[in-house]
Amino acid sequence: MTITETAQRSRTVNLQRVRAPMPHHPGSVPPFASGSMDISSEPPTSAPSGTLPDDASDIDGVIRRDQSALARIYGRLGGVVYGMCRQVLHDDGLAQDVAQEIFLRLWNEPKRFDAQRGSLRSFLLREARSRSIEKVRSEEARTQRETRSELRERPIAPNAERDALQSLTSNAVRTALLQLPQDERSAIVLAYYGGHSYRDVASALATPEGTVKSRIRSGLSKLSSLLTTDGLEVEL
Amino acid sequence: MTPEDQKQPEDAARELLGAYALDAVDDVERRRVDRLLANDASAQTELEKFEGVVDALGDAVEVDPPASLWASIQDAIDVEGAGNKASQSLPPKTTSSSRKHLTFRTPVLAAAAVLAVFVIGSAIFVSVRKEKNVPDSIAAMTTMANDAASKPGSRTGVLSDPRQTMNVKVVVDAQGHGFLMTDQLPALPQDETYQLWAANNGTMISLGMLGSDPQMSLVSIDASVTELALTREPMSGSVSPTHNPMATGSLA
Repeated sequence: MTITETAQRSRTVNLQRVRAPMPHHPGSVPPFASGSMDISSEPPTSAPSGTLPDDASDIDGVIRRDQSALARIYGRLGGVVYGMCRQVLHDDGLAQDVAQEIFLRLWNEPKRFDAQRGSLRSFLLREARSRSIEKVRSEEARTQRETRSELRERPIAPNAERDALQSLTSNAVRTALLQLPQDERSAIVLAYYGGHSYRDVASALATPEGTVKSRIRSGLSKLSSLLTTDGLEVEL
Repeated sequence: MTPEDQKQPEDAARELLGAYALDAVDDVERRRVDRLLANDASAQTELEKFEGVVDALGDAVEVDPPASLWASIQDAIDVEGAGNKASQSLPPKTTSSSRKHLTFRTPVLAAAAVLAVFVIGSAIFVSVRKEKNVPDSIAAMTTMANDAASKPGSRTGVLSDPRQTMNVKVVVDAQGHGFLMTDQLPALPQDETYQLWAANNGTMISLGMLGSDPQMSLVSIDASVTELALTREPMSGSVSPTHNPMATGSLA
């Protein structure tokens, strides 16, 4: 299946959008109206396709303790935050715990987000992944303490790469990954979706660390080309 | 000497750009790449390209979160808001097993005014920050700590620096609720946080971040933890310590 074929039945994502705060699209409708409002107990809905949310104004809202601003952020990004936690943790309950922590931390410390350094989506994705990795390590350490075993580097499950690819909800990204050489794909999938260091990956693949570094770099470069075949836009 | 060793530092750092974008490097390597990025426009360009890919990879795991997730976030916020109004409220609803540790009753409800709740690693911690006007909460938590220290099965300790200029008293009750009297700690810059670690045979396991200016913190501390260390870290926290411990101590 080609990216173009996949495009015909999916939604649009702009790779560039994640690098900088986005202006509010004049014609878009945010999931919640701005300003103060009572927050429903219903979960916020995802942003309509094509919406270009305004990270900066919503963060300003959170700083003003406007819960509707947090609801809008959750509506846009709750799915990717929870999804990333779930991907790394492989446990719905733990993923929910970590995702909750991330949004509460955003609520309590919104100024940690620096719009000059990238989009809120990128920021929260990094938070979700790093917190989840920390959670995994903490759980592993607890288990090792209980079994009185030595702390070791994190093992990688035999089917980790296959499972990660199967769990992706974007056909375009999966297709692009499958177009990479096997060794580059393995290095990227295990490092990113598995939350492993490149050293762990090198150990698991019985490959020199320098080789794994090179494969990750080369693979990401190819992915960039594959995902931006027609300029900036990728159809997912 | 391996081929890796023979590379120029810039080349070695450039080779790490992909792993850096995936956040799959250690702290030393991260700083090495940061130095390269500070002086090399082509490296910055390459990294920007990679970061776009990484965000697409991140987007590719999006799923609908369970409705209970938003409900639990709201509940936690509502507890904080209610506490700020000095009214009584219920603690946040729990959504999974790990939150069952948060079972304090009346005293914590009194302290709920200023509770910043985070779930870090296996720990749940609650930090009271100085910028809040919370004498009642401090008093309530101090009472709880003193009460815990007097009960069977509790452990106590003091985290201190080599010069003994700061002393953080720690009380851990039999259920693993740890109370840290962190009021003596100097305030850190706002982009930094104190982070508590369990030392286990030379390996440091994060127990949670305490914020930049904590007065008192509640941390879940497993019964197997006997050595503690406190470091200063970037506000986002660290997977492993990036600084030498400011204070260390044992529980007994």
